[in-house]
Amino acid sequence: MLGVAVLTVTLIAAAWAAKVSIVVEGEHYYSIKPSMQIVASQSASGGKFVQIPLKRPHGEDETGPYDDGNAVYRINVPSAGLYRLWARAHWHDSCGNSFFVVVDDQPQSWIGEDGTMQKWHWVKGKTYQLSAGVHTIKFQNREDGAKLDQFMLTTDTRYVPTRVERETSQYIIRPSQ
Amino acid sequence: MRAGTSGTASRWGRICLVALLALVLGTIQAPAQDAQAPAAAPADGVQWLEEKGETPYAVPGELKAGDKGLAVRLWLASGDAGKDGLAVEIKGGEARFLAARGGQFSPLGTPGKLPPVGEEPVEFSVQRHAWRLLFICGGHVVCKAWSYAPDGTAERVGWESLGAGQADDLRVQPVGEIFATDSFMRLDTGSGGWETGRGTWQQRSLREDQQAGAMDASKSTNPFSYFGQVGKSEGAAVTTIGYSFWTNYSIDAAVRAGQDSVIGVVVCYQDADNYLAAKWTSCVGASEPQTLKLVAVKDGEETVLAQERAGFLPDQWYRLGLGYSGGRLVCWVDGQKRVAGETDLFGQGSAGLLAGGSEGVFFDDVAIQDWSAEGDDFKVAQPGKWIPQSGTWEVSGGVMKATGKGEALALAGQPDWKNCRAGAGVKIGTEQAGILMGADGDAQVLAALHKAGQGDKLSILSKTRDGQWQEAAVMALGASAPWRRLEVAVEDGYVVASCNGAQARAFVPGAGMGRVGLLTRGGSAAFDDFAVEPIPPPPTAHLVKEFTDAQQHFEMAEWAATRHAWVPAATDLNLPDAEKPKAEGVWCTKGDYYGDYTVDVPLTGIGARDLDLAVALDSDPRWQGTGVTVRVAGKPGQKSLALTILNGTEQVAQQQVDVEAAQATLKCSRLGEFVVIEVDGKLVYSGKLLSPEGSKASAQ
Repeated sequence: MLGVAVLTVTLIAAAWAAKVSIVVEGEHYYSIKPSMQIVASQSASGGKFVQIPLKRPHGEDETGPYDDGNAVYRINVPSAGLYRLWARAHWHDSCGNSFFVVVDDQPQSWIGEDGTMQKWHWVKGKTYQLSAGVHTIKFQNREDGAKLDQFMLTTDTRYVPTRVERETSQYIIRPSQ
Repeated sequence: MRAGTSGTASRWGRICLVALLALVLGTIQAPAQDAQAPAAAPADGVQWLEEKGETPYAVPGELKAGDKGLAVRLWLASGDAGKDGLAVEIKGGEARFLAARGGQFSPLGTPGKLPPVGEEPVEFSVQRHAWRLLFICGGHVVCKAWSYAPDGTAERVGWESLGAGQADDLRVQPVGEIFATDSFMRLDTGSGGWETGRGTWQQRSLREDQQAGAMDASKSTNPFSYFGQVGKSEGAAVTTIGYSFWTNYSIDAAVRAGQDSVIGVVVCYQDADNYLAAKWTSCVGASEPQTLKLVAVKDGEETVLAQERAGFLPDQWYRLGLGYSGGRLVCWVDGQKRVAGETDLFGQGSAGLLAGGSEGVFFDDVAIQDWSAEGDDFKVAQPGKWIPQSGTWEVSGGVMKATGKGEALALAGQPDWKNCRAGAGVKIGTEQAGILMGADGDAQVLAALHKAGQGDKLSILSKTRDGQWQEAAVMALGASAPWRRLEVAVEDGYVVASCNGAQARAFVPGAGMGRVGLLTRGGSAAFDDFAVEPIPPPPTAHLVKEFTDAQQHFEMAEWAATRHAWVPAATDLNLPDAEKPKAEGVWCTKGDYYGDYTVDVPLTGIGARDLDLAVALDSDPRWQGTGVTVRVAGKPGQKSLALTILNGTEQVAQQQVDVEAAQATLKCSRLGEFVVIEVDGKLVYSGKLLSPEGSKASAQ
């Protein structure tokens, strides 16, 4: 009976399949480590963004020994699912157009390496299977001159962010909480 | 967020399922903010989505016919309640836009024939932009309309049944600004967002390019490029970037290919067998040589929309551009418009690059951006497109006519339009008629044709603060003619009007912002074949560190060229050492800029340090005091800049400019024979200087 109930619940959960979008401002990190820094800007959502400043050495690996400046975000994922990562980024040039991304203890990946420079735009990242509950997402130095204004994790695979998105503060864990 | 499309039973089903989940799990999770929550009950008959659209946006969805066929209305409603706003009415095998107010409907645009819709769902999309609306269904633009709402205007989205069939899976997709660039300066780090539709596509460094040794470095754009090649027994190779909801945009790329290649750029890409493209063959190729054509490819079959005889030189870099807007296609080569066509196919889709023939094609410096052209042949009236401001206007006999004795003005377009080119056939009545540019800006400009005795004349008039028209330039046109083609372009205040080979030019500060209009003064007039399109911004050159780092990025510094290069003056010159400039810290552009150009110079540390900088336009770096020089000076503690403008060695102006921050942007433009200087968008100087056109820009 319990097995049937669990199966039923699983099927029901899959059928319901709520679309979840989690939007986080770059400056609303849980922790930050230099050389990642916060910068005020009228062109950024919320008036601030985080960046790896120019002339910092490129990171070749998430573990260093190079500059491993990063911003760590903690989010409370409301429901399990496959989440697409998007980042609202601003690249200095072709040698400053990516971040390492580390989700929980999953292997490092990166986001960026597209060709749109000197302009805020949304960059499509990889997908991550996330369970319901708290997760950490780390954006880390890979190239200098890379800026992050917002990022989004969404289970809506058809949705494409094209402008500033409204932050979903209910999912964001800050140190003061 | 995506609610309102599944019917009441389905919504109750969901509610029950959620309740059952809660019962079994013993808890109810906080609902996700944008979860697919049940919609409000359709008391007004409309299934509204919870999420609003904010212009510009698209509403994709599906249409499905029922036993009685298909009769539904799609809503884009203003306000938080009620059914005022815009609608697409789909019934009787047709679709058309309507304006709705207080339960009354009035037509917008023209109706269109719907492709067959049966029980199998057919995809549709409503594109709602600031002024233009498109209804696309089954891969065709079915109908268009025009109704202005500023960017960011929120509208409720929904649908209602008119007794047959249904709309399903509606969602709101923000469109935002379309903008993407790529100079392909990467290796082995992913595709940069490009997706291969067909053929083989790969990054190429000029270190690997077999032709590199034989090429003139100054003709290339940078040492990396994207190379596309057809596979065996395949159609043209295509790679794409962007999204299915993109519309009203242009793609422009540097291109180079061998003699048996076909170069192409793509818009409205659906898949490798369905897209719109500009295709170009070489002047010496064996197959279909010397052809520049616009094509529609549908299910793999190619239809030529327009073409002209023009071939590229093998192994020469060009810029090939293609713009799409509301069914209009325009193709440019090196910024010059070459071919234009129209089609109702697709209406939206991603952008792409195309390579055909046996030798492959190199692409570089791709730029994709918003682009919106509009036209009117006045064959039928299209309600909502032209808004009369004064006088009496009517569309009849294939022309737009203004009657009456006073001034008559009809406007079209958006208040935020800037830098446009417009043209129309004009038949003058008794006095004066023409095209009004920048109806919403600080200064309005009228390019007008006048009756002047036995002949006609062409003039540029600007409207002064007291509302009077003032002549800024005039040209005689010779004997009167019943119809003349009038063209006018306004770019950052620089106005060029032309008619029958005569050209009048003027600089009118603040001109060019806003809608365009047809205007007559003191009599009747008729207009035909109207067209307006934005003037594409010139390619932007950025100084990036790789281009000046000859040690780490030697090939970039070496290959840097006009579009991307600022190089030390001494290395730019093929001169004996004794003749090279001695001044240190002098940087010049590599190569010559013929035609108009703008140099943007960021000024930093204003008020914090001594500032002394000079920008030279049209100067020869071998000779001091040539061209036009703009000297900028600032002192510690002062939030102001002293600008001195010299023509050769003669001072022509001196201005003190207050700035608000420690950073400012100095903008120096050469527009025809005019030089325009701005600081943070404020005009500092404009004047007609005698500098010869077509030499170099340089900066110290």
